[in-house]
Amino acid sequence: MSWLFDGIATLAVEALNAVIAALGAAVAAVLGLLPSMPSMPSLPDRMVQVLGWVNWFFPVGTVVDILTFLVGAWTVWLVVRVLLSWAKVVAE
Amino acid sequence: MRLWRSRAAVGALVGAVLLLVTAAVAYAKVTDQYLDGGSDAAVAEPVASPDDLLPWQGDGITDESLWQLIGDAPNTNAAIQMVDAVEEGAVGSGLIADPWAAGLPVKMGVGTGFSGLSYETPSFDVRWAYYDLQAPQTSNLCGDASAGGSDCEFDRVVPGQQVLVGFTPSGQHLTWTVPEPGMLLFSANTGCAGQFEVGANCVNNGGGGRQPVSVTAGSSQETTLNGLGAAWLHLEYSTGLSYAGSTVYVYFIRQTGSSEPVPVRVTQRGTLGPYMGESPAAGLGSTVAQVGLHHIGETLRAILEDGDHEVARAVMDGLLSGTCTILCDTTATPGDPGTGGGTQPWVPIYLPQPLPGETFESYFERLAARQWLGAAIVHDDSTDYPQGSAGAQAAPGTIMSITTRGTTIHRFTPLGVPINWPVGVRGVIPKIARQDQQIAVRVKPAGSGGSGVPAINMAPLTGALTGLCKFPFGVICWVGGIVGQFNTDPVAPGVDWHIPTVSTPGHSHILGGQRYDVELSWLDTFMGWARLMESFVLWAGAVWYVGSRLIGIRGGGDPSVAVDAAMGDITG
Repeated sequence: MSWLFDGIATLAVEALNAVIAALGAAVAAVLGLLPSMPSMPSLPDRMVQVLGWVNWFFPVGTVVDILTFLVGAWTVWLVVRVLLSWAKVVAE
Repeated sequence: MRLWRSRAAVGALVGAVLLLVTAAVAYAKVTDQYLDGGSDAAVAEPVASPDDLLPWQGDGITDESLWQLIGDAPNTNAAIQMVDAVEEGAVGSGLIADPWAAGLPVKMGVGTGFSGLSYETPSFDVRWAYYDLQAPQTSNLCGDASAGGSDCEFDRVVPGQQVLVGFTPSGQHLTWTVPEPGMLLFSANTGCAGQFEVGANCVNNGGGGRQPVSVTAGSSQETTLNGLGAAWLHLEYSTGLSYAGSTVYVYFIRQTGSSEPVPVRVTQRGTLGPYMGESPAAGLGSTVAQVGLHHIGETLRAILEDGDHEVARAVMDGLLSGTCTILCDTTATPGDPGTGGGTQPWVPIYLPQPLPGETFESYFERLAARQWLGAAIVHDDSTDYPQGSAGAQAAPGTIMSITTRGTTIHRFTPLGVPINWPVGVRGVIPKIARQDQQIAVRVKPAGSGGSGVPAINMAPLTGALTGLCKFPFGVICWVGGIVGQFNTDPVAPGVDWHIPTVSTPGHSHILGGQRYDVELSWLDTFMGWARLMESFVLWAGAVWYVGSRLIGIRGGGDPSVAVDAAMGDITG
């Protein structure tokens, strides 16, 4: 009987993969239609120089990492909170 | 069930988990940045001697004396005067060297061992070397002539080759290496982050923008030219999207009368780009006059922003005085590769050979690092390779074939036998343009070769999302990029401040005239420790700030209240 279950599982997974592939193609096609972003402006060289000095005194990269993490965690939480609210685990 | 309905208990549990995650991330960040070879660790590394990079030749210059010379070289405004001298119409004499015919390895450097040209000007000699990749394929640059065509292609440079291309008076040096065909990596031993990018193929957009192929601003030092390595390496390319005809120039400048080829500045510039029509047609054996009158003035103008002397002097003065200066705007406007639709054709991105065991995700990251802006379509490879063959034993996620521009590169035969990546065969190396939207990749499906049940493959979706940095989603990428620009490498402040002398008709000198030369680089090691401590404190504070609220110290056990309270303090 295992071959039967394997066959059914294979069909199910292949069908799911086909859907995912279709989604991927659709997303890629849509993204292909979107305009590219203009090039990002560069900081003036003097500012880059000063930033290098600031980074010499203070780990700006660490602050950026922390803020990135906090914003990311908060964004995730906003999603998780919806699910937990449905389960009445957290307040609305 | 009652436990799970307890908001306080669940809140505490969720908070504790998030606290652990926060602490783990903090630990990973700190250790990754400061303890395991991060940027600060790199700063503390000793400066390597150029002896380790390449052997120097000619004029009796030894590795040691050259290195000493670099350290002792004075900061002068030599380059500024050199520009004037060149534009006065200096004419030199001599023959273009043929390093290949001389049997010399492909190495560039100060010295006359390869018989570089020498320009006699009123104030300076302009010493430079000329390498034409159309040289006969007898050198190790071009490889085996029988491998294809009569022209050389840059992508056939021997992998692993390393060339020292620039020095600064204070000892920084710049090298480029060829880790694999078609790719250049630049390395500077130290310097100022984000000073300027290096473009191996200074493709212009009509205004001097140079689009790097394999170098990304803000990436690792391996791919970013930092510091004062005043070298600009420019590889030309033909309009046929081939590197055939590529030319590399390296200029060396020395003061007149000096018996030493002082590497005050190494300025490198090709001749195409914005001046494609004025590129020298001179081949090997051409006289200096032929080449020089064609392009040297134009070349310098191209470097110095179309002959703008004010900009030129500012740039060169900044370089020579040891301050960071942006040489080239690396922002380019996309053109249409090879069709003439754009202002200039784009240099192709040669598809790198997938590394052993490399997943397609990692491969796409490498492509993105080469400035590729497109997205990939990922399919499962449905080929039924014979049991036990290399193709059948390939790990899930392995790239089995790549299709781009109608060409498919297979990595295995239908019998599962590996196929060598088409390296060095002109016209066969798969390549894409930077703005090509899609390439198709077939990968070994996860779970294949096992129970027979394929695994769920999210690759098509994740692959498609690689092109998400487009409007309007690209705003996020923008923000990230801009914020990332603030995260530069630490540079010790240095100010050389001259207070002007104030005089009056009756008094030749009232006040001023002092000079304050402040240089804090001697504190680099200690500041590295200080930044490490600051980083620990910052992360500890962040962990405490969020964690204390998540576990209910201020949130009453409800994680939603805790997070809102924590973030509310930040967002106001």
